[in-house]
Amino acid sequence: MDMQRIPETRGKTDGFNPNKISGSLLMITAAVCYSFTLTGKWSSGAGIGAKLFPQLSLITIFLSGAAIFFRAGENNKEKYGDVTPLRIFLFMGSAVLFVLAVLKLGLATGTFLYLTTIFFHFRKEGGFLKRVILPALCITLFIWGLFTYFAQIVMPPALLF
Amino acid sequence: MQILEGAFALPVILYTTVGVFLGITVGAIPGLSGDMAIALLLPLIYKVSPAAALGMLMGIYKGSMFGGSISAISFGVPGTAAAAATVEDGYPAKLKGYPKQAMLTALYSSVTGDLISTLLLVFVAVPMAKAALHFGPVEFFALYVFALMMISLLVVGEMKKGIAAAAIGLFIGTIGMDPMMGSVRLTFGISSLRGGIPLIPLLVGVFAVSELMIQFGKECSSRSAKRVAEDAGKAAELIGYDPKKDRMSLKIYWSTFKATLIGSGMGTFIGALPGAGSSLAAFMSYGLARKLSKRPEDFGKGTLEGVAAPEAGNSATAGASLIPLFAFGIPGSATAALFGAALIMQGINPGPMMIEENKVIIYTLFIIIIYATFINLFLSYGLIPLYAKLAQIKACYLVPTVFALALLGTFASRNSLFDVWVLLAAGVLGIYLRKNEFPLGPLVLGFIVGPGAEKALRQALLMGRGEWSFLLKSPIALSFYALCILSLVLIHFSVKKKLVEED
Repeated sequence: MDMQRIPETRGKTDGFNPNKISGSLLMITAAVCYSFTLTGKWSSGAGIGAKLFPQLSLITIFLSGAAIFFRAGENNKEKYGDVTPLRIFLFMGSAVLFVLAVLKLGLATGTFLYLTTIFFHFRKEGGFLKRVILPALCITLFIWGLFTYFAQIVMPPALLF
Repeated sequence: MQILEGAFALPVILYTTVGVFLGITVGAIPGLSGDMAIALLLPLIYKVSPAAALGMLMGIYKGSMFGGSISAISFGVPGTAAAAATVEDGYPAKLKGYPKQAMLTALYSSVTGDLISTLLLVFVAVPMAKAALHFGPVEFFALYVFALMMISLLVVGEMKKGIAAAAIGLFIGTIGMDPMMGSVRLTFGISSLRGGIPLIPLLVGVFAVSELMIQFGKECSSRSAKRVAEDAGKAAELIGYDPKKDRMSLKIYWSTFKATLIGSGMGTFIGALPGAGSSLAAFMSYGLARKLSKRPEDFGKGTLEGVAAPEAGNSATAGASLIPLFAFGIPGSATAALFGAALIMQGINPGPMMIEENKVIIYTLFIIIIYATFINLFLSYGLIPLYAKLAQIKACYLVPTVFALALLGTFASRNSLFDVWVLLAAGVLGIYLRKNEFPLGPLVLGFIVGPGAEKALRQALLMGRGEWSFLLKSPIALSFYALCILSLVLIHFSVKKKLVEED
């Protein structure tokens, strides 16, 4: 683990205030969702109706968003500045590909391919077999054993295993 | 007899031991936490018997509390947020040449704090649950308001962000069927949403995936960990480490006993309050122990009292935070919320009727909670040197492995791709909230208690024929609202005082 993450890494965010953005986002989301509660045909029985609680939650979100927006002066920095939208996209993309690989090729094959790719990508030095293949194989075996014998989970049938 | 047989069945003991082992392991690795491990294991344990499954999760919870202090003392890097206060004196104690004493003080005080709060849970939860049987919807709604208020107010960071996170959780909880009349709300025609947002993908996404996403792509070597370890090694060499001087004794334990008791009391009190987490308990225990110490000037320089107090404090929250869950069905912390989710998965509905309706399993669980503390003691004692090395596991191996487990576990729990999309969406929400310093605990707690709060409110309004003033007609409810106002005022003034002092 990278220990430097614990004393919070902060990225430069000159030019915009994350609190103002968060506050605005909360207010906009709450307002948009509130409009759906006005148009939906929900029961009005049982006390004051099915709208009440979503509306109360949305009003609270809106008000707290406004409070964050208007008191945003003290904090104009964002945590984890190195977590960029591109990195999030890559992370999500790898997740989708992994799940599809498991469904099409099988639990063991999909996991092995995924781990091999990731380990290969982040390998800095050392042998391919020792740093990539062996760890991927061992971890795949562990995950396969965990699912097959410990949790006894039956995965959908796939092309391989 | 049935209870004892259930608690001491071999599979139950094994699962609990594995849970403790896993808990200490994830606690010792900075970046992983007990919450994350519990969230990851939730989908995998639904086929296991309730006693074994709950024993395992309880083992993780307890183990992770001590585990965090291992890297805090060894490298000055807390394994969990709750162990941050332990660094203050634990790491200096190691540098002074007393790593074993510091580590064992942390272990013994952690176990003492945990045991005290566990016994309190056992003896307090049952009478409290009996008292709660007299609560109606009006009282329950007031209790939910109090819990949500405390959850939002006691978060570390900005109060308004805590309130926003709790409200987001409440709102997400309203998606799907309404709990009274079955109206379908905010599903936008997606049939998978009719049953609401699934709990496990949301929990795993918010807690685990968002954390993993932060660590994704970090360098394939924990340089800073190595540097810290090398520095510590050099310091030890300079001092000339003498194992004979670093022996633990009963006398040393006794010298830290006052601090341990202070931490245990503070941790138990704070843990029982909904929303106040173990980090807060650890820092408050540390502060109080320093204030009441005969040698406050030694704090921060490696005194063992400074190790004992926060460790007892954070571990004492483990049992105490389950009191509101067992008595009222309202989780006292994010970890207790995960534990509540596990109970639901095992067919046990948290609430005042829970103990009455599930006497055997709940009393079995009480026994497991007590002996898990001792398993933690023996396992940790034997494996401390091994655990200290765990903090140096490379992120590039750990993160993809844990992420693969999260994805597969979530998919496998219902063989549903929809759950995977929810998991990833919850991960994105979690990362946004983390980046902008919104606490995650209130969101999860809001999501879990939301349906109960809504049901209580609407039942109360039905009983009062739509009159809102009916909510104020119960003295118990009124006292909960008074507590809310009092807490709000107290916290507002304490924050104001702090700001003035800082100026």
